[in-house]
Amino acid sequence: MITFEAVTRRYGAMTALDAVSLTVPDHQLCVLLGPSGSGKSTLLRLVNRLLEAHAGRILVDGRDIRSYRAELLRRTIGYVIQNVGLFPHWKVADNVATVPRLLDWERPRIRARVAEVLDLVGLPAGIYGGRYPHELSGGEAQRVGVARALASDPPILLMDEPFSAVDPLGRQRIQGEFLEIQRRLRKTVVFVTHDVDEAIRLGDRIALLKDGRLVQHDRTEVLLERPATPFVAEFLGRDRALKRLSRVQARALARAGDPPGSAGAAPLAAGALPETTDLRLALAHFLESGTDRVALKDGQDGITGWLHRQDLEALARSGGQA
Amino acid sequence: MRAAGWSWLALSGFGSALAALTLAPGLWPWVTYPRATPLELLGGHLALVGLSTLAAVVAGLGLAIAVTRPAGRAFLPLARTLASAGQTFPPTAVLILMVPALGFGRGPAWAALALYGVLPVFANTVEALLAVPEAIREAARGLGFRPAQILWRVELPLSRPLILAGVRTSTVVNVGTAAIGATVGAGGLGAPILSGLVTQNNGYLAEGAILAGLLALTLDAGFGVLGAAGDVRSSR
Repeated sequence: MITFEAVTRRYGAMTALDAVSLTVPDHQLCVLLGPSGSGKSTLLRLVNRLLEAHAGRILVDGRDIRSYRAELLRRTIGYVIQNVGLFPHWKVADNVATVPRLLDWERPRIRARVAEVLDLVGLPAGIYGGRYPHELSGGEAQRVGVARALASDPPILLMDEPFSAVDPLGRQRIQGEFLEIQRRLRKTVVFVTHDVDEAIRLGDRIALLKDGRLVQHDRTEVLLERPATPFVAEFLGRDRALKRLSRVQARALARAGDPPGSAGAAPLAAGALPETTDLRLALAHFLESGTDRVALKDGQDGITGWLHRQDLEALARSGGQA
Repeated sequence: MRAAGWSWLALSGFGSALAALTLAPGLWPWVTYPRATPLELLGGHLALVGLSTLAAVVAGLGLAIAVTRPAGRAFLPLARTLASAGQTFPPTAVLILMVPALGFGRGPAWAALALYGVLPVFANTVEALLAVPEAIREAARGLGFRPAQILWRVELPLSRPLILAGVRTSTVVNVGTAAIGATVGAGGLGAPILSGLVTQNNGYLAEGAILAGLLALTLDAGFGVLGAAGDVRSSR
């Protein structure tokens, strides 16, 4: 758990953060969202003491971070930055091994762990471990950046606009992959972005900042449903209903339907949607097809239920509580 | 053929010519400089260049590191200005100016060479350290490197090619300047050159000049090999 208590940070005469209090619960991904200059990056960099707060304090699991030596604190917190910052003179495997080496792990343990995290981010160590950073695509480099941050299995991960330098298509894919990783590892993540869609897609919670102040912090669904101020509503966009739908998978609304008739399941599966489809895409399907219900299928093309358009619309009106 | 290949070829060519002419002076029978063998002259020259360049490298690196640390950053503009102004002095002038301060002999030559050799090392090291991308420094800090670890494991290795280029310039220029050191009594390969000029003896002149030239070319090629071998990003 990360607790910010009335944290203030100034740059010269300018106040970048003004008495921000915020708690990030364990195993949750909390997005710090806001326009540029809102202080979100500053807030993140206070956690591993790349910056020091001028007032207030920050606790990790109840302990004031100033009671650690800064370098030792940082080795227990994963850190991913926008420009990746891979060391160009080290191979991918050496880059990933950075923190385990700083922690003086045994060599075999380091080697095993490097292979494990590279696999985790989808870059097999046998192929990528011996490459230099300049031989990687932007997306691959960013995956290595994530692997490097995860190498020592830190409980906390700080990510500063990690995917914003990746092209839009690659970004969507890497976001999806990261979500999968996070579902498995359940780190406590603080994630800075100015991209509302990214925040809504990834965040269990969103803390919206403006001019160095915390405007609203809540579960992402709550934020979309009940924006606290006009600024929040405007920043999240007028299509909040759609954004809410994008966070819910179709199977959450699945109804048992008629069992497949004599025609069998195969033709049905051809027109069915994967049950993991988000409801925003499902709505698009309804709009295009003009139908009122659609079959849902699992990974093996087995029909698992039916999604009804009226259920989806009811959900959109009710405020996203599935 | 790649750059590393040419450097190897040059190194072995110039190196073996230098070795042959030094170790087997019978190869060039007109060599007649009586006061020292070619080997002694070359040894004296190398000692002059080696020691002064070593001192220059230590001082240049140390100064460059100092003015790029947070504590020394205030001196960075001043140091850069002084360094670029210093390089506009001809090395000979530095050498001659040392005489009133330190008298004749090896001392003033050594000091002048060291002083002049600092500049390219310092200038290149400063530029190289400043060129390390901020994202890389930030990542190193964020991952938990101590400042000294950032310097040794990240900043200096990344700066290596430029630093090496500075040391190369410094060394090669010093080989030439050291020859002029004979005018202040420093010995080395300048001795037969000076003697040849004074007595109009072309044999003396050729001995000193050819060996000094080959030495400069050999060292330059040697740095070429070092540079090519050390740059991981071009070694494939």
